[in-house]
This record gives sequence, structure tokens and C-alpha cells, in this order.
Amino acid sequence: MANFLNACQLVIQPGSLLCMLLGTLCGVFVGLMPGLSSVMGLSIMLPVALSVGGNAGILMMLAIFCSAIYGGSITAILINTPGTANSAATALDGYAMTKKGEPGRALGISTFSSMCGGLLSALCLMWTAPLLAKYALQFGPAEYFALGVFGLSMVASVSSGNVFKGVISAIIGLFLATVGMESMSGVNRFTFGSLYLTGGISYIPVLIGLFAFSQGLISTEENYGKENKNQQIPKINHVFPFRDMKTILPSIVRSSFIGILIGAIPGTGGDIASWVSYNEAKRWAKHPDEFGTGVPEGIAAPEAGNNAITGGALIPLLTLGIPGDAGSAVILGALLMMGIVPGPLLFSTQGDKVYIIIIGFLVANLLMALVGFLGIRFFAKMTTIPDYILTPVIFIFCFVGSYAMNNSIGDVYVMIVAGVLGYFMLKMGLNIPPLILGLLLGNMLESNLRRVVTISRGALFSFFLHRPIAVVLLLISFLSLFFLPFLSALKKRKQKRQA
Amino acid sequence: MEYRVCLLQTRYFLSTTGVLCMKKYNCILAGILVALSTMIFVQTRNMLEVTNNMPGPGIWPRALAVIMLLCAVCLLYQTFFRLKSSWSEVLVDFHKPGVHRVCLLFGLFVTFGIALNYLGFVISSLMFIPAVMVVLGERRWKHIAVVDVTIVVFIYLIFEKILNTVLPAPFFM
Repeated sequence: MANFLNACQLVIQPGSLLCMLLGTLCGVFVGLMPGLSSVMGLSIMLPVALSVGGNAGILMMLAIFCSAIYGGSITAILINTPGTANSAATALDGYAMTKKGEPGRALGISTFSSMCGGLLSALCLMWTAPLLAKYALQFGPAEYFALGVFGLSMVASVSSGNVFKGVISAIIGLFLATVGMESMSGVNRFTFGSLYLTGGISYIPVLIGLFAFSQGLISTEENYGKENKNQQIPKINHVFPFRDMKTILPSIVRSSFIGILIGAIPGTGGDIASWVSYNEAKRWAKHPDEFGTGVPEGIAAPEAGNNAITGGALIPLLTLGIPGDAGSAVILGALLMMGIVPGPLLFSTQGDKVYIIIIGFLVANLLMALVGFLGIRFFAKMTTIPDYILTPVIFIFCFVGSYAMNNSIGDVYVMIVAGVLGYFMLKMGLNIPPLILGLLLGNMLESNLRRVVTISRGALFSFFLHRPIAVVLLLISFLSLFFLPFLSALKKRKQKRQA
Repeated sequence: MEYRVCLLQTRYFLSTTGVLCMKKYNCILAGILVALSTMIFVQTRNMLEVTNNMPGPGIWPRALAVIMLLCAVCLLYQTFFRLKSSWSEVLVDFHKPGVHRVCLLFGLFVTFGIALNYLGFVISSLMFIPAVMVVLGERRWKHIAVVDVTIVVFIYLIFEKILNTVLPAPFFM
């Protein structure tokens, strides 16, 4: 209780609120601009948050995390161009409502639903995280190793169309984590005599390069020849959704729980949550045939669903140290850089930080709604910022952000290499999240495996037999990587033969 | 029969220059993985098997190298015998103007990275931003100048004055 009250006191301090407001504005901006993503915003702002430092820095990252997903709905509703993949489902009914001449109503519903989804997920996080952490306290090195493999395998199998490519991406990440001085023996690995590499590959430039820089390059290529196309922004009135409250509330509650559940599963994301929520809202609706013509539930359901994944993704992150998606992977990197190690021990050793994160997350959602309702007209105008201004700003932020962390020009070169690598990875369908997760979890996986080998004295099989949780986690990992793709391939072959 | 198909596909691989298709990319990726795993084995050959009664520092990277090799073999198998896309399916075409633009930006980034070390943030950014804007198709010089100065001042104020971080300084300061 003392931690809870202290956290409340810290979060509502003017400095913290200001940082959260800045994070919210930044998050909404990256969310609404097509071509920019929430992960890109988180990566670019990571050095800024680390420079701010302390609790305010964490709160700023949380504010970006939740508001970027909401931001994507603004362009989806106004110009039928989802700012992020999470808002693609919102565009169906949102844009239809705009075409009916009610863009303000659509934006109001989306803002309110996003806030409710975020708030419900924050409450769920507050309730489940300590319980799960208590249970996770029984975990030993075997469970931690299995958990790391589970997180990696889920992200590798779900986020990539090709399982091998997902695994390759994760393995490259794990290999990058081995670079530098090995902590147990003090041996330098893969440093090639470079003093810079002795400390290992820094997360920040790699995150910025892979998520922000590469995305900037992709946008530059894709926007070739589209420079002079101006979008017409419709006039926005009546943004407060008072008259729709009764209609949308059931959809909001249902979708929020769907979002929380999906968010808590590593490897999934807001796009899945929003489509599942949309389909469920349609299934439960009295007139499902009206969906797609601009019904309020068609906007409320995907928005509540995709914003609820933020709280859901924080559950495995805070309790087990396993990020649920790319956004929470960046948050994990930020927390590690700030000296906060997510996992079950976090609740007993740094309980104050946990409650700051949870309360901050609640307040960030409220701020997001406030900023959304008050600044919606302003944000709508921001979508007209041309690429020739936005792109250099992104690139300069990437360079300065990479340099600013350690005042090292080496970090800038690492960022450029990671950016170019990320560009080719994105072009060729090699997903980035497994690589980042591999880089972040690499040391944890290696040290726990070495502990397991030492404790078991080499008899790994019999050791794991006495660790049912670890066995179940490893089994699920194996199934997600090999058995499910194998089954789907078999099904396809059968269908072919029948045809 | 499969051997002949393999030979034919290798001929395709060599004949398509300036273009990256999924099959070609997969072959390059498999090659990189094989090279990387070989490098890991070479680099870890002198590392101890056991240190402080624990597995040595070379065990984990070697395990990763083995998985890398397996993935490379599976990827090659998939590419030559399972992947339905053809050698002519283009994913990155280096002849396209959009990709030219990206290549130009690559060059600019490297130049900027080096310039940052010697000329510092302000001078190199004042040159880098107009160059990027020109590559992006902007030709109005007044516009470029205003945007350039605004961005540099904005970032300088945020990082140097508000966040108190150190930005790269020129060699003469």
C-alpha cells in the first residue's frame, strides 16, 4: 500500500506529468503519421527518455507506448489511411462515418474507446501482475531458460511468415548478444581486438537502427513520386461521444478483455487484437450487416482491443521479463538501461518502480484521452506535414539519439549498419522483433543454461523431468516452431491432392 | 532431375544482376549464415570447455553456430525445392528510382557519420539536412534553408540545453 501511495504521489508531480504529456504528444504524432510507427517513436525517443532519466523517463516511454496506438486511428478515420497496422480495422467503419459527414463523432468514439481499453488493461495489469509474480518467484534457472526460449519461439513463429526466417532472426540476435566480454569467465568474444566491442553491442543504436532508421528508409523508397499528393482533411465537430455511450460500452468491455488476452501472449500484436475484436463485435451485434457502413461499435471494438494490448503486453514483461511485442521489447531495453530488471524479483526488490509503471500507465491513458479530445483538430492538420521535412528530422534524431547515450561515434556507426541491415531484413520478410528479443534475452538465456548444466552435472534430461513448468514451456516452444507449421503444410498437401 | 533443376537455378542466380528476388536473397542469407557459423567455430576454438565447473564461454556460441548451420541448410532446401516464387520475382530492384534514392541516402549517412566526428553536430547537420531534402526531391532553396536551420536549432536546444547531453563538437573547438 505504501508503494502504491508513493507511486501515486510521484506520478502526479508536475515534472512527471510534463514528461508524460510530451510522450503522449509524440506518441499520437508517430501514430497518426503513415510511415511512422509506435516502435519507431519509442526507439527515437528512447535516448531522450534516458537523458530525462529516473521515473519521468519511464513514464514518458509508457505514454508513447499507449498513445501511439491510438494515434493511428486518426488518419484511419479521416483519410482512410491507417497510421499503423493496428488501426486497419478502425478504418472500415471510421472512414464510412466520416463519409457520412460525422468525422468528429468517429474520432470521439475512437478516443473514448482507446482510453477505456487502456484503462481496463492497466487495472488488469495492477490485479494480475503481483499474483503472477508471486507464482513466478518459484522459478529457477531451468524455468527462466525455458521462458526465454518460449518468448523467442513465440515471437519467431508468429511474427514471421516463414518459421525458419523467424528462427534465423532470433539466432542472429542471440549471437549479437554474445559479443563482448563474457561475464563469468572474463573472456572477450568476437571483439576482434576492438575496445568498443568489449562492452558488448549497445541496445540503443541497434534498436534505433532496426526500428526507426530502416523504417525511414523504407518510407523514403515507398513515397517516391507521391511527394505532391495533398490529402483533404474534413472539418471536425462534436468530438465527445455522449449519445453513443450506451451502444458502445458492451463492445468496449468485451474488446478490452480480448485485447488484454492477446497482448499477454508473446508474439501477437495490436493488429490481431483489433481484427478479433471487430469480428466479435460484429458477431454479437443485432445488425451485423450494418458493419462497414459507419456503426459506432465498428469503431469502438477495434480501438478498445488494440489499446488494451498495451497493458496485456506489460504483464509478461513486468512479471517474467519477457516482452510481448516489439514495442514492449523497446520498453524492456529502456528499463534495463535504467537499472530496472523486469521479472518476478522486481516486485520484491523494486516494488515502488512496479507501481510507478502501473499508475503511470493509468495516468498516461487518461492524458491520452485528454490530449485526444482537446487536440484532435490540431493533430488532423499535422498529417499534412510533407516528407521532405519529416524524413530529415527522423534521421537526425536517429543519429543524435545514438550518439547522445554514450557520447560515442561508434554507436552512430552501429546504428547505420543496423539501419541498413534492417532495411534489407524488412524488404525480404525477415522480421526484426525476434532479432531484438534475441539481443535482449541472449545473456539471460546463456547464463541460465550454464547454471542448469552446472546444477544438473550434465544430466539435463533427468533434471528437466523434475521441472514440469520448464518442460511444458519448452514443449509449447517446440510445437509453435515445428509442429504447427508441419501440420498446416500437411493440410495444404491434402487439400491439393483432393483438388 | 533435382540436380539439373539446381544447376538451372544457380544459372538464374548468376544471370540476374542488380535485382534481388526472394530466392536470390535466401541464397545470400544462407551463405552469410554459413560464413558466420564458420567464423564462430574459428573464433571459439581456443576457448576452454569448462571454467569454474561451468560450461566454458565458447559452448553457447558454438550451439548457436550449429543452429545457424541447420537453418542455412533448411533455408536452401526450402528455396530450391519448396519456394514457389520465381527468380524473376523482384523484391529490391536497384534500377528503380526509389531504390536509387535509398542508395544515395546510404552514401549520405556514411558521409554524415564521418563528418559528425570531425565537424561536429551543427556544421555537419547544416550540410546533411539540405542534402537529404534535395535527394527527397525538394528544390526550393529558401524552403530548404529555413527548414535546415529550424531543425538544427530545435535539436540543439532539446539535446544540448534542455536534456544537457553532449553533442559532437568540431575538431577545432
